[in-house]
Amino acid sequence: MNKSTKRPLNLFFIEMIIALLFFSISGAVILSVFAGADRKSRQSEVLESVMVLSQSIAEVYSENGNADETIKIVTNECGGLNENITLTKYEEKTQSEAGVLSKLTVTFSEDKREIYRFTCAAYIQNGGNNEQT
Amino acid sequence: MNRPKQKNAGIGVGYITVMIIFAVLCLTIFAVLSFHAAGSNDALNARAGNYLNEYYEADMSAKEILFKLDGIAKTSRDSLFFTESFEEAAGEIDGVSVKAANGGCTAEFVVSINERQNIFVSITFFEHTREYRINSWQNVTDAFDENTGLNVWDGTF
Amino acid sequence: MKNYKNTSDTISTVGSMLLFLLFAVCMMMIIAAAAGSYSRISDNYGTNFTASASIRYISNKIKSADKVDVSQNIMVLENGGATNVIYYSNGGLYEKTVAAGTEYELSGGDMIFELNGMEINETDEFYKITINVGGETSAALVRKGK
Repeated sequence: MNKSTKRPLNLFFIEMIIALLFFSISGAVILSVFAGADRKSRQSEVLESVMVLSQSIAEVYSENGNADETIKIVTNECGGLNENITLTKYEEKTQSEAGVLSKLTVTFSEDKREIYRFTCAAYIQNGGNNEQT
Repeated sequence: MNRPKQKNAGIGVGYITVMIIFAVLCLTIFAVLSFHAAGSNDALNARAGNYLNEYYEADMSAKEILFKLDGIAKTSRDSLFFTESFEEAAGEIDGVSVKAANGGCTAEFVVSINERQNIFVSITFFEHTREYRINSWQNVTDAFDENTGLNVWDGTF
Repeated sequence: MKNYKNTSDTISTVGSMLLFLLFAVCMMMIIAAAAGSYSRISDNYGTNFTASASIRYISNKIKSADKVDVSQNIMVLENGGATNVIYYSNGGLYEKTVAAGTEYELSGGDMIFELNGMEINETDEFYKITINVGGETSAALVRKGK
């Protein structure tokens, strides 16, 4: 009689332990997939905003050929960058008697990891000087 | 007499397993859907970023040509015959066609963005002023090609 | 003895049922959290895509047009023999194509994207496109080009 009353309870606990073990193993795998998806989604969000900003930078730069002024205008008009994002720029100018051809390479990085890089150009008549920055 | 009564009193064996399997299935479906959504967004961003790079590289090539053409225009103004001198020098640049325009010369060229899109540029350089006028700097899609269409039903069985 | 046994059985049954209930509630909470996470990622995807794609769409339209005219958030683009009118109305970005030179009304256009707001401003050198999707605002500048 005693045996028959304890048996279902023991079975319940054994099943629960096995189920929990199975759940914790699958939960670990599923959680890592969720974490990966979340990381990817956040990276995409950052990249998306960086690309919109890049387009504005390229458009403004092609009108004025001045990297610092371009970034100032774009920051004022379109909003600044996320705190974690750093922007590095490399400007190269080639001068002829007629004008200056400037090329600007902008690199956006997050925690020292490059996320997007693009190059744009500007041609300004009779301006600038023959320097490389 | 008590035996069947006590057997039915607790939670039966198997309920928890069914519940766990259901929960794991639900979680797996959501995880896969999330990963797929994030992956799609990533792929879309990669394509958009690629197009942006392609466009501004083409734009840069067009500006390099403009840089050369403006230099040629400046040199040509110093010569006796602006139009002839400009046409001869600009014609040597690959892909640039030049024609005489009112008060100067118009140079036209096309720079490829990708397989389907190009930037068409038309600029008029004037003989007596340093200024140039950009008539057109616009994206153009390749003209319709009847050989690239899909075969559809011609109406016969 | 019998009473004691019955009480003990009842307690263990109630205990195991409570444990099962706790288990079920935890599972439901975990599933709800997973659904919430998916919904957030999916919404994020929709919002980001709509914002940047609409900016790209309008800027590409500007770059391909022969002539652009902007007034009161309505953009009129002349392209060959057609006039494209891009405007914001009833929570959407609409585009309407009419033959060049014909009168048009701001109705009956095709919805391109669902937005919460759109503004197009013109300065001496640029067009500024501001898009609002789900309370998030994105802005971009496009040069006039000519």
